[in-house]
Amino acid sequence: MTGRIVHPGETPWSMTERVCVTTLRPDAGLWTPLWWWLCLGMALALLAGGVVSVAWLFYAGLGIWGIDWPVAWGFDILNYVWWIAIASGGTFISALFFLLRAPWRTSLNRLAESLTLCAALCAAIFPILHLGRPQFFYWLFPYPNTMGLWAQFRSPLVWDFFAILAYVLCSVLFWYFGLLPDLATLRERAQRRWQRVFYGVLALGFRGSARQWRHYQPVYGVMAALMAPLVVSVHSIVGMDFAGGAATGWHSTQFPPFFVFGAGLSGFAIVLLAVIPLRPALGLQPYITDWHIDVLGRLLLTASLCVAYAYVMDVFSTFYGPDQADRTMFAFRLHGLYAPVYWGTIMLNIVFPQLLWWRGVRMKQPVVWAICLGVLVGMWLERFQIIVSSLARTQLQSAWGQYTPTLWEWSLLAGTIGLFLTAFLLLVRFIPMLAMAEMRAVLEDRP
Amino acid sequence: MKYALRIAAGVAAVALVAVVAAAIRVPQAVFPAWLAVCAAWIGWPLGSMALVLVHALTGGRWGDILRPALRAGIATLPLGIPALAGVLWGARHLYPWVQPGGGARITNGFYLNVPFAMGRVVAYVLVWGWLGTVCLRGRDVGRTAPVGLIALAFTSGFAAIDLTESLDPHFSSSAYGLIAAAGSVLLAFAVGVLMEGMWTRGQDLRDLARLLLGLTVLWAYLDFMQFLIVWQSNLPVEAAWYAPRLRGAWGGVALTIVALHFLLPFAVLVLSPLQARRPAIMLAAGLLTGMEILRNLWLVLPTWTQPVPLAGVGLSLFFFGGGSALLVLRHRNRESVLSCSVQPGDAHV
Repeated sequence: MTGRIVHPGETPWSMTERVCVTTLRPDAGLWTPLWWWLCLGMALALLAGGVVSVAWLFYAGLGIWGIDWPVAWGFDILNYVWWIAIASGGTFISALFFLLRAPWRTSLNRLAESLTLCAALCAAIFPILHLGRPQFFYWLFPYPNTMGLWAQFRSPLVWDFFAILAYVLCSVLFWYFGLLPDLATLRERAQRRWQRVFYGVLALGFRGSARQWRHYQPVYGVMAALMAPLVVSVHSIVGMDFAGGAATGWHSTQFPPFFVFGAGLSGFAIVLLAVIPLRPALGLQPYITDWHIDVLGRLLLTASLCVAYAYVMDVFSTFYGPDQADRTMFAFRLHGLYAPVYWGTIMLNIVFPQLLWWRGVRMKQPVVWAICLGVLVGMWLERFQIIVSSLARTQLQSAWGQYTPTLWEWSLLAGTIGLFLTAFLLLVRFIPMLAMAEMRAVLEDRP
Repeated sequence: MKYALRIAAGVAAVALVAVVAAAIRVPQAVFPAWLAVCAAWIGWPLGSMALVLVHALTGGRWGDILRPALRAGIATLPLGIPALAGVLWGARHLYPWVQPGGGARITNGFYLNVPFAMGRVVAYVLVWGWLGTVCLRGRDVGRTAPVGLIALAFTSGFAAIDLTESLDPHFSSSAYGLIAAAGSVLLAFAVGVLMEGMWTRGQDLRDLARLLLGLTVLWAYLDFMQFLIVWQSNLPVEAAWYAPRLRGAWGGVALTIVALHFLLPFAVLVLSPLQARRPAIMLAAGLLTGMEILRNLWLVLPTWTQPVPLAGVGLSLFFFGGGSALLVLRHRNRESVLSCSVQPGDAHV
């Protein structure tokens, strides 16, 4: 097994050396590869567009968006759900497979967790923007306000607040806690003063003593055990935001697990999407091998099949259930204004990932990368058809409508993609993308 | 062994004769009980098949340890023939949509009609028969597993809808099949731990405890999500399904299920010191097995306003218990004969 996880010639010393050189770049001054600058430039351009969009939103109000009655949830909620699902990949790989004692996750967990952080950051922005008056974001907290009214504790929107907050906080802690030994390694190897101070402060005095390790390992295990149910709870509650609503097509008891399946699909897709180009760019091929791509491809296929099962049951329940309005809305999904969105969802989330049944396809990384990009687009389309198609075809024919996103909504979406890429590129540059301490344990256990 | 075989065969035969005699005289008292016990039993072979197929894909010590018990569970599949025959015989007493004119009163008649239902039953028998044969033969399981799991997921989900959800044709829950599948896998794993746990120790026992914990949490999660969404939405059609199951004596059963199907096993299995203690694991597995049977009774029997006599439940339990014991003993007998006939150096059978 270890031979497939790490190339045979690698030792703990060579691994540490390679990762530290990539992060600290001791011989090259502040020089950073061109690809990194190009990507950062593009990311910052997108981010700048997003900043302008948010500034205009704060000035002019929600009227600049295309949302209106009956489609009062548009890109804001859609993008929130999409980003939070993307964030799940790191947690699935890092926490769930840690609990399942899968040694291959060691090669991927830092990268996947970093993706989680950046995606969760993007997700957290949308509910605040959606409020209309973002300066009152603290009204989301369930505290008795001046009118003496409490939050509606039976509403999943309140649960959502707790779930997201807990998830984001725990994700940051889990990521940072796992990073401590590596920050200490970087502090010890840094040759420049700013690097020693930077990594020294971040390492919080971690020295790698036997006492510290004795406390570190159980705490990491407990955090992993907390993260696994948290990732399920956060997506389940997102599912319940819809399932508890009265809109057509939303009331479905499978929504909580269905959203978890979708989160797994998006999460594995983003990890593959990042791993495939970063492996050669950061020189990580000896530690993230073709076998990892193969495993991730299989996981993506499994998640796609789970989502396919949910789609089939969704269609079945629509026709098996008693509500005629659901059937009318479903016909609208198939043949109406947004039909390309529905069929795009099916093609990108279900049909194309079936190519991953063949090992030959899983070994062709450009093809896998294209499938993953398709899955991310497909998951976005899925959210669009769940939210927009349902709201556009309510029970009352007189309340039917449609939704056309404005340029400001598109630029906001592009801005969050820019924010995601900027944050991730900064992490790639300044944080080791391989969990050195954990990888050392894998290499030392090798027979 | 022969003695045990005769006892099991005798119990099953006597129970079957008694059930048939009672079904002719008082069908309303027997068929609901038969269906409830059948729904509980079918989870064992189906869950065992799912676990064998998953293990063929993932590997792991747990599958090696549980393999004899899982194979024994699959070997009880032939019991499905009298089980399904009983359900088909009593369908008119069980399902409103089978009764004359019943189809006109429902909106899902495209699915709930006799010819289509018969076709589905044939499909289930063919798919489960094929998968059971593959799993028991032990060859090419890995190659069959991906397709087999997909087929099993759909057939077991739709079978659960056909067998128990359609008792109330107005009730619809898209998670119903998933819950049934999770319950089946949990039942099969718990029975496996009961059968093989006596000879397991150390880290292996701990692994079994953790996996049992994971499956318990999975089932509880799915079942609770369905309940929570129905409670939260408070729609008349769905509330009407839960109402008889949460009031009176059945409400007490529901609380018992919460306490003994989830809370107590969870408390036992989550504690690290208890994960290494065989009596604790066996207790949790026993509770989960018993409660999964009770949960199926709770799903089926409150459908009727008239209480179903316990004698019918008892007779059905004796038949399925005796029949399962007979088939398991026959299977073990055959396995031991085969293993004795394999000479050193032969390929593993």
